[in-house]
This record gives sequence, C-alpha cells and structure tokens, in this order.
Amino acid sequence: MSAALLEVRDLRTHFHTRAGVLKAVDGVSFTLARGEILGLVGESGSGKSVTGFSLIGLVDPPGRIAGGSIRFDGQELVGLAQPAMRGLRGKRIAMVFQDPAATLNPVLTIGQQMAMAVQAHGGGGERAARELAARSLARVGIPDAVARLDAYPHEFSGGMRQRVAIAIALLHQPELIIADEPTTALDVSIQAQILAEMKALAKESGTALIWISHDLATVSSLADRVMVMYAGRIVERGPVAEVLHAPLHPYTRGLLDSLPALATPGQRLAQIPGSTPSLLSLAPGCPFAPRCARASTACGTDPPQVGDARHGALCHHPLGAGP
Amino acid sequence: MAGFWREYRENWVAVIALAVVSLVVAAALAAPLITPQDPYDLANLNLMDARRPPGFVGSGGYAHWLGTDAQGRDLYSAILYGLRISLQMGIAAGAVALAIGAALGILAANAGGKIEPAIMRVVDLQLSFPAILLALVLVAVLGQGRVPLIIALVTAQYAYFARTAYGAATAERQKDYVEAARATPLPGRRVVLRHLLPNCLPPLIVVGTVQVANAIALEATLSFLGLGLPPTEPSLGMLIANGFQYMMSGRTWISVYPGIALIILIVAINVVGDQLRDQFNPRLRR
Amino acid sequence: MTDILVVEKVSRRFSPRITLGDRIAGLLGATVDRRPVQAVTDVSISVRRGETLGLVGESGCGKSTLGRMLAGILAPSEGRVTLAGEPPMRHGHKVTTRIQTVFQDPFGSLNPRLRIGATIAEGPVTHGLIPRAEAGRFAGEWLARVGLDPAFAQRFPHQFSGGQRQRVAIARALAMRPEVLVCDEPVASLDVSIQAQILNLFLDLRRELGLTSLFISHDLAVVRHVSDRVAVMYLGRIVEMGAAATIYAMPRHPYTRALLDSVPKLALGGNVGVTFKPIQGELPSPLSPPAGCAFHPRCPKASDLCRQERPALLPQADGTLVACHHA
Repeated sequence: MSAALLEVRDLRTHFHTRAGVLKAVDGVSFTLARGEILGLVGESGSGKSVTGFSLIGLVDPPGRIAGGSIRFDGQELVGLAQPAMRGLRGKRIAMVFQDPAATLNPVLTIGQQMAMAVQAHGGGGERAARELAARSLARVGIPDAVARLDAYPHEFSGGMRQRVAIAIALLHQPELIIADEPTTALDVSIQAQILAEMKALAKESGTALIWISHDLATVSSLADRVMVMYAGRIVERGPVAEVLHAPLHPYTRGLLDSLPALATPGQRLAQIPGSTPSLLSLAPGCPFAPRCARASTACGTDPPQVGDARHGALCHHPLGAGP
Repeated sequence: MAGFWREYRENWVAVIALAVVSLVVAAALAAPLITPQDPYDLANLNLMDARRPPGFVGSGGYAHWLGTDAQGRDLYSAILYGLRISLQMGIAAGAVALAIGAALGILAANAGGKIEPAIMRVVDLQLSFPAILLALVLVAVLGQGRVPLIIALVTAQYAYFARTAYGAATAERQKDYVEAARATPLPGRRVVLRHLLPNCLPPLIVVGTVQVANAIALEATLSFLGLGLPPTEPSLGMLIANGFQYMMSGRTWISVYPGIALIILIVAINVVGDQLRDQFNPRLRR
Repeated sequence: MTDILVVEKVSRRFSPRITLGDRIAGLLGATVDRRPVQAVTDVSISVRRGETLGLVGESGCGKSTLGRMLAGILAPSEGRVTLAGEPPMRHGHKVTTRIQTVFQDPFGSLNPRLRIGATIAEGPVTHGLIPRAEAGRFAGEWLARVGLDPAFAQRFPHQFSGGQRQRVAIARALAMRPEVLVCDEPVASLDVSIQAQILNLFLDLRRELGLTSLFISHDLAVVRHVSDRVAVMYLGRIVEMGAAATIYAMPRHPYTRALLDSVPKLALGGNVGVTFKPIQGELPSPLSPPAGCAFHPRCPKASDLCRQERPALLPQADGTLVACHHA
C-alpha cells in the first residue's frame, strides 16, 4: 500500500448546545491508505456520523471542529477555507448518505443533477457530462442507463435511488468516499446487492472507502479494517478478522455477544446492561465503565492505548490479557 | 414548562411583546381604578371640554394627557375602556371560534366517510371568502350589540381553527399511539378526548393567539364602519372613526392615540403568537 | 397443542382514496391510478397456544398488514380471523382485550402528553381489570416487571430512551393480561445492545406468563432467535412456513434461501469472515404482481410453469409448507 491518503489526528468535534458542550467526537485518530476500506461501527450517538461529516467539513452550527488535524493527501483540511473545501468535496472526496431521497432533488431529472455535479467541478460540455453520467450509472448496475438519465428520482425504487447517489459520488472518480449508513434503509436483498457492488467498485477504481454503520456484520462483510466507536472515541480498531475473532475491548465483545445471529435460539442473549451515556454529562475516565463487567477503580482514569499499531483498544482491562 | 419559558426568554423581542400584552390586559382590567373618568357615563362628559389637545386641564380639574374627543371624553380613559371592549370581544370570539373550529376539525378528521368532505368543503369555501365581508353581512342582518358581534366574529374565524385542527388531527391520527389506544381497545370518545385532542392543542393555541389579534382588528374595523357596538360604548374602532373627521383640522390626537393603542396591542399579540409557533414547531427547533 | 388464533383465507386490499382533486384531474384527462394495492392475499395460518410464530419478509410484503389483521386492528377485505373461536373485531372496531400489540416505533407509540403510569394503567382501568384507586400501584408493579424504576410512572415519554420506551410499550400491552401478544418489529429501531435487552425481556416475560405470540420482523436472525415456527412472506403471500429450526437449516423455497444468503453473516471460530450472496433483481410492485409465482422474475430455478401457474402452499414430508413448483 502507498502512503496514507487520510491522516486524522486527535479530531475533536464539539456541539455547543443549551445544555452544555456535547463532545460528539472526542479525540479520534486514524489513518487510511489509498484503496483501503475502513468500517466505522457504533451505536446511535456514538459520534460515527459526526466523524464522517467532520472529514468533509460539513459540521453544522452549533457544532464545530474544536481541535485536531485532518490531512488529506498531505493537505490540512481543518481550518481550510470553504471555497477550497468545496473544490475537494464531490471531486476528490465524495459522500453517500443514509437517505437517498433527501439528497436527490425531486424536481430535476437524474441526468440534470448528475450533469450539474459534473460541471460544478469543470467537467466540460453538456454532452460530455451526460456521457459521463450514463457511464457512472451503468457502473453501479442500473440497467438501461442512458434512458434512465431522463427519469426523476421518484421513478426509482429506494435501492435504485441509493445506486444513483453512489453513481453521483463516483462521477469524478474520487480518492475517498465516505458512506454514512447507505444501506440501513434498504431491504436485506437490496442491501446485499449494493454491498457486493460497492466492494467491487472500490477494488477496481482504487477508491478508499469509509463505511459508517451500526451493523457490525455489514461493515465486516466489506471492510479491510474496522473501528468501533463509543461515546465519541474509537475504543477498538484493527483488521476485521482479528477484531471479530479476538476483540480486545469489552464493548466490542458485548456487541458481538448481543447479536442474535450468534446465539442459541430461544436462549437469553448476553446483553450489555444499561444504556449509552449522555455525552453532555460524561464522567471522567472510561465512558463504558458503568456498563462494563470488567470495570475497576482504575477505570475512573482515562484508559490507555493497548495492543499494537495493527490492532489496538482503549482499555484498562483488555480481553485476552487477564482481568 | 420551565424549559419552554427558558427558550421563550431567548427572544427578547417576544419577551417585550409579552410584557406589552400583559401590561395592556392589566391596564384594561384595572381601567376603572386608574382612569380619571368613566367615559361611558354621560353625566361625566362636558361638551365644553370637547376636542381639547393633550395636556389640557378641563372642568374636572385634572389634565387630559391624551386630549379629549368630540364628546368631551378624556381620551386616555376612553382608550383604556375601549381596549377592555376590544379585548373582551377578541378573546370571547377567539375562544368560541377555537372550541367550534377544533370540534369540527377533529370530528372531520376522525369521522371520515361522508362527514369529512362535507365539513371540510364548507370550511374551504369559507376560507376562500374574505372574513370581513362575511362579518359585515352578519352584523347587518343580526343588528348591533355584543352577542351579534361575537357571532359575526366567530363565523368569520372558526374556519381557520377547523383547518388547523383538521390538519393536526389527521397528522396525529397516523401516529402509533392513537392506533395503540384503539388497539387496547379504548372507547372512541376516550381516544379523541384524551389522546388526540391534547396533542392537537399546540398549533391551535398558536392560531388562537393570532386569531385574537385578528378578531380585535376585525371588531375595530366593524366599529370604524359604524357596525360594531353602540356609540355610547365606543371601542377603539369607533374612537378612531369619531376622530377621523377632525384629522384635516389638525386635531389628529382623537384618531391617532386610539390607533396607536390598537396597533401596539395587535403587533404585540402577533409577536407572541409567532414565538409560540416557532417553539411548538419541531422543525424549527434547534 | 390447540390453535388459539386462526386465520382463514384472509386478504386485504387498500384502495387509493379518490379525492375531489383526482376527480377533476380525471375529468381533465389525466390518468388517475385507482388500482387497489393487494397487500395480503389468501393467507391461512394458525397460531398454537403457547408458541411464538415468526413472520418475516422484506418491506411491502404485507407482514405488518397481516399482523394488524391478526391483532384485530384492521378488518380483512376477505376471509376470517378468530381468536379462540370469536372474531376480534365487530363492525370495524376491535372488541377483544385478549390480544395486544407492541408497535415498532417506541417514539410514536406512546402518547407524548400522558405520564407513562397513566399510559400503562389506562386500559386496565377502562376495562375494569383493576379499580381506579389501584392504578398507581399497578403501573409501578408493571414498570418494575419490565426492568424500570416504579418511580418513573410520573414521567413523560420524552424523558426516556428508545429502549426504555419499548419497555413501557411492552408493559402497557401485557398489563391488559392478553393471551396473545403481537409484536410488530419491536426491536427494529433499537441499537444492537438495547435490542438484546428487549429480546431478553420478551423471552423472560413470554416464559413467565405463558404467552402466545406473533413476532413480526424483517430481521431474519431476530426471528430465528425468538420463534418456534416461522412464516416467510413475499408480495402478500406466505411462501414457506414451518418449524424455525427446519426452515433456517434447510430452506425449501428459493426466496427463503436467497433471503438467508443475502444477510451478511458473521462466522466466528475456525473460519473467520463474513459471507453473503445477493439475490438478483428488485421487489416487484404490489400494484402489478407478476403472473404465476410472484418470485419467478428473480428466481434462479424459474421455469415456464412458474411463469404461468401460481404454486399452492403444500406440505412437504416433514410438515413444512412450501409454495414452489420446484421445492
């Protein structure tokens, strides 16, 4: 693999709300190589989506990036002026959202929208734009792509709309695509089709992909490496097989044990007690400690980074290392 | 509730508006205590004091700070007594229209079948018709007085409430908690009164606030045209009308001060209504 | 085991509402779509006392509509639903309290303006199961039973998380002492760790109370976990039904097989990795279902027979019912 495409250091994104400062992303660091697929897993409120939005400079007030650095291909993105950011966004970094209906304009045809996306980054004449759009639609498996350019978003099914959104993201052959729960709203059979296509597309075009999801299984089916987020922090990261097979963090273990797919039918599931903490009133130390069976007094202080550069976790009492 | 007030407080314009509304209501309620003259008691009026400018000290031995009108009424007293009538009419008409409109709207949303289009077509027809025209016709038919005036105002306004209630109720009815209540099963009346109605109230309160202001304006308009209350009990509209003929002769205060009072009241109520709308509308919530 | 809930040849159509606007548009020459949507077609199932029947399928397959007809919330267009011999609905209104429902969205299914204690006790008080004076204590007991602090009775729904609300919704349903509980996607909107808690609660209460239940979900793993028997729906019909263990181990209908293959599966232990195999094609529109077997356009085994004739739901040697010419 070549040098890192994306290097995130100690990213902090905070929301200044009425009730106080909400640290949605609290010291996230990771690197992503060109062509690599990285899964970002977490439950609602873990900060996984805000991490994605922070990377492309789309954090809306009252939220803002409070610190850290995001280096994309050597260029610092934190504090980058909006025009420069717009030049990158959609061209070199693209995003795919959960709800394709919300990202497509209902009164413009797919072809018009795609042509606008092409021309926004100086993509040449209308004819060239249409050709590019048709090629892009065909790549994501939309049959009869040229004719479909003149269709409106409502003429597509949910799965097809998400394919269109992905086709738009692919238009400029970006170096990085950030996909935020792109298959969550879709049926399993459609989700499987899109997962298979994304995997193939990423491999053949050499695009790096950050796949954000609450579902450990979908992420793992796609990604090379996976990061698990909890309360704004990355509590575990590593190659998919290692994280699934030998998780270091008790939270990752708990997530795996909660899955009915891995349990004996009819038996109680090994549940994680309690619920996710409010990010407004986090006690110091490990945010998972109140729900953790292995917690000790040591967990009142910030947990250390354990493991190695490949597979690591933030924990005082990592699994597989004795209590 | 505490949170609601905390959010309200963030908009200082709305806070001032609320203070103005409260002040006006308090002043109108306390009018007999804080005014030098009962303008409805003809024995108090002295034609010698008529059309005097602000600050004039009349036969009563006190200063008319806002001047007097053509009958020799102290304008300050007349305005406060007029506000009393305007507020009474506005609030009474608003409340009755809210009750009738909400009942019709929720009934239409809940009944379906043939009742729903029947009610809603009448409402739509009336909404396409200027309220003032309808009120004019009704007052002309029913004659002067408080009850006919309230009937006219209610008839002109219930349709707004019916529309709002219908919209809110059709949206709420889709929600699972209403289905859950029916699935228990709870009696239909209970589902409507305890589940549907309370959840339709926020938009109705917002419309109600604004409609009170509209009712006041409408009443003032009717009185201005001489179709409101009898001249012995002048509301703000009639005071403005009475002073109108003296505008050209430079005695502008007779119309202008009641006009200012009316505008302040209506604007203040509307600002409060806007703020309530913003706070009840989850889409504008941050 | 005896059947408690019996559904015979039930169908449900939804006709689009023709509004005044549509009529005018029609007069002006616009095409107004008046085709009814056939949500459920000719379904016959029975739920045995004490079992959990899982109902699984993709969005639009009619599983929620079928569930609502079973729960007595929605009247069938054709066919008959009986709960212990009696219809749950009369004149379009639910009359029985013996079947209760837990809805999918815990944020929508609780009245935001009612304290949760009142929400739980309202049904039992209205139906005279408990005296009004007992309501507070009763609600507290049920809150404790679903793992919440009885003091929460005085709170409003917005003060709770999704998982806690779903506990309240379960308490509300069970407080009516139903014999049958219909769960319509009860964990679909919950996080994985919370989902496990709610599934455990369901398993515990089912055992304690000897409940019969219908469990509707799009999540195959969840249905597998809680169900004794499973029915798979596709485009308004049941395509396969039988013991859960059999269906998951040996799916006979190509759709069931394809559905199981589409789910990314975590394989732990020896061969770590995730495998899945997508089905081809899209879900057809329920407005114009394909002729013959509705699955034939996506089916790898489809033959001319499948395109012409709809397969009947027939029992196989082991008792599993399958609607396929090539089973």
